[in-house]
Amino acid sequence: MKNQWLKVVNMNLVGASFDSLPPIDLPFRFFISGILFPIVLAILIVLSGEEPWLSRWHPTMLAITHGFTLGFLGCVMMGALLQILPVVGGISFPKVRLVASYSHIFHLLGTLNLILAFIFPKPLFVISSIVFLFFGFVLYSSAALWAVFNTKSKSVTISGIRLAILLLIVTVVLGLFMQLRALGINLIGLDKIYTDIHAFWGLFGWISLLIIAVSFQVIPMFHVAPNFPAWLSNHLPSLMALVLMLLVTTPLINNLMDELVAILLVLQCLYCITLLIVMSRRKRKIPDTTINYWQLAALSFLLLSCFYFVPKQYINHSFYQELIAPKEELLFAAVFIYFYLVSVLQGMLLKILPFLSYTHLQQRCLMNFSALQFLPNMHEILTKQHANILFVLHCFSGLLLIFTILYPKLYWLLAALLFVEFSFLLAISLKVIRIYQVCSTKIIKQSEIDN
Amino acid sequence: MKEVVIDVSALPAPEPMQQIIAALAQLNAEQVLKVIHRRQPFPLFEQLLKSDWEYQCDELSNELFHIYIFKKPVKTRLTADDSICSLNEKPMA
Repeated sequence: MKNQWLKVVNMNLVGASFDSLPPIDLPFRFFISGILFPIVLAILIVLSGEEPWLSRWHPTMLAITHGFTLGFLGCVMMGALLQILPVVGGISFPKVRLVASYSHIFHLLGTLNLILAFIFPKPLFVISSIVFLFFGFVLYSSAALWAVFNTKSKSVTISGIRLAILLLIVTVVLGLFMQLRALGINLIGLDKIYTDIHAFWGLFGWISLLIIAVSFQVIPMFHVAPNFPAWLSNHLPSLMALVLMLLVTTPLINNLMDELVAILLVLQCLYCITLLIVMSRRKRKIPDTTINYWQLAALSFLLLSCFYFVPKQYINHSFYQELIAPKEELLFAAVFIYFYLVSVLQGMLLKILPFLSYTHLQQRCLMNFSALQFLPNMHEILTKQHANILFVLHCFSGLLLIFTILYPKLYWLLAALLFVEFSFLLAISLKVIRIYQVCSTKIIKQSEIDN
Repeated sequence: MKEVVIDVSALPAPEPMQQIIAALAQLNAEQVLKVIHRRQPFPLFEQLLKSDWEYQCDELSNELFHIYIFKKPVKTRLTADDSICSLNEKPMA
């Protein structure tokens, strides 16, 4: 009888293939280059003036959007996954230094060329973006797939990450097909519905699904919150993936785009509500800026969905008709990307950067306990005050983004605030790296003395 | 073999690792450290294998793991029954 609840006894992992934690410089280089993108985009926004804010299809607006999604979000997620897989699944990417180094370079070159290709549609930039992004993603996603299909872990996080990577591959293929149009090679027709599908797969499939899967692990781990309910963690990622797959079929066999998008939003809302409940039940309710970021993201998404589901024929106010209605799609995308996705990733960075540094330093102390004296305090690595300043800057820049879409004359103010916010994040991150290097040197010296 | 028990299941990362390392620094060759954890700390396992430690991890539920850590020369004497007993002594989280 006692064995009924005892699932696995003596699950000894001695002998499993471990060398999982990648060198710290690998995730850090993804994070730092990711943070640099919004700084570059701020300069682009200043130079481009009001015009890009008039339509989501404006080439510079497409460049800004991809700078955020591929540049900031893509880099941070790629770096985070390098580090999360060993913690969650006890497995690393194969040939991690080689894969991370080359995929990082390819991704950076591909994204920069893509931004240039939108602004200056020259064949050189288009071809370079296709080649670099293709090889970067093939290298990264094949190594990630190898890792997630070879881990012994059966956690819901691993299953979710598998789905997110598979969805990333389709997103990239669709994106490359659209880039090929610029070279006169038209494989999927000119219908703009494919652009929407590409955006939904990338934003909801790759990034949001990955955030959901990772949150199942990191929220209980970092915030001592209860686990997400099993009904949600077991079924939500696959349901979202199913809806996204059906979305691809809409141009071919039916016209259910609006219905499927509505289901997708409801599923995402379900996650956001559960996230807020799980957060409210955490055991130690100490103030934490990362919690504020999660709450901001969840509440923004719920608000966004409420607005989406309000029947628009009942809104006759001239403010809505004249200002919001023509830019509704751009507003939805901006709120989702900036208030939901960027908020979560910025909040996660505030946790991951000090945690990574601390964990890597801590690991060395197991070999030499006398080095424990050199471990910094976690709160010294990244202070609460700095985290709070960043959060306030982020809220203001988000609001200014909405105002700039409505009143494009404010573009320069948005650019200035984006520049300040992400420069501050860069400074915080570099300080973390500096503290790590100083402590690491001390530990190495102590080990040499002891040996 | 004397058991030293620490419960890190209600601590946020990276405090569990802090507690475990502090406990290991005090552990002598006649003792085994029993860690009650909410998850499998894979990075810890990796470092234990590289150092002079051995470990055994028992998954009692999705949210409850008992990890036994001891110096390498000492062979484990733990059995499944030991794990069941220890679980009965401490109610599941």
